[in-house]
Amino acid sequence: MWNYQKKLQYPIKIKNTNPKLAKYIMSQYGGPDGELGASLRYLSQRFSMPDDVTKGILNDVGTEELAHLEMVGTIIHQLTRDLTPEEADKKGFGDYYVDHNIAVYPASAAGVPFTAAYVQSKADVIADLTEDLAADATIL
Amino acid sequence: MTSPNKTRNEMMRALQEADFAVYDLLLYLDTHPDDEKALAMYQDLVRRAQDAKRAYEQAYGPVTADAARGTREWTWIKSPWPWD
Repeated sequence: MWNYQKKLQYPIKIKNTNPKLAKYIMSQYGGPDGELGASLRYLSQRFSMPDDVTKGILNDVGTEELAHLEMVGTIIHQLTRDLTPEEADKKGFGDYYVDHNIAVYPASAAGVPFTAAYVQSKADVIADLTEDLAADATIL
Repeated sequence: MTSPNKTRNEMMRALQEADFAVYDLLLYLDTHPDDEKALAMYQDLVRRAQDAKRAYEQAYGPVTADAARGTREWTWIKSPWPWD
C-alpha cells in the first residue's frame, strides 16, 4: 500500500501562465513515455519479477514515478490555473480547453488520451527490463 | 539544520532535500544491498529526514496524516496542498 506525503519531491512554484508550454509538458504526464505510463509499467511488472533485487527496484522506482507524476501534474496546473478562455484560444490550448477546461487530464501533447497500450508486462525479466530501458532511455 | 526562525519554504526545502537523498540511497541499496558504507549513510540520512519532518510539522502542520494531532479540528486537509 501507499501513504501520502503532503509535499512534492522537488519544489515547484510557477507564477506565469503558459498554456503552450503546458501542452508540451502534458506528454510527460499522460503521453506514451510519461510518468503515468512509467509508474504503471514498473508497478505492474514487479509482480512477476524473479528475485528480491528486481522486485525491490521496480517497486521503489515505480513508487517514485508516482511522485514524478504529481510534480508534472503540478507544473501543468500552475501553468494553466489562471487561464482565460480567450487566452486558451489564442495560445493554441483551445482544443484541450473545450474538453477539459483547466483540469489536468492524462493525455499526450497531441491530445491522445492515456492508454495502457503504452505499457508492456510479459513475465519475462529480460523482456520487461528491456522495455523499461526503451521507455526511460531519453525521458526520466 | 532547523531553527524556529525558518520560514515554511525553507523548512519544507530542508525536508525535501533530506528525503530526496534518502530515496536516492534507497534505490542504490536495492541493487547494492551489501554496501555497508551506503547502509550507514542511509541510517544517518533517515534520521536527518525524520528531524526535518518533525520540525516542519510542529511549525506548519502534518506532512503525513498520522501527524495530524489537533483535537479540535482536522488539520490534515488545510491548505496549502503541494500543487497550490
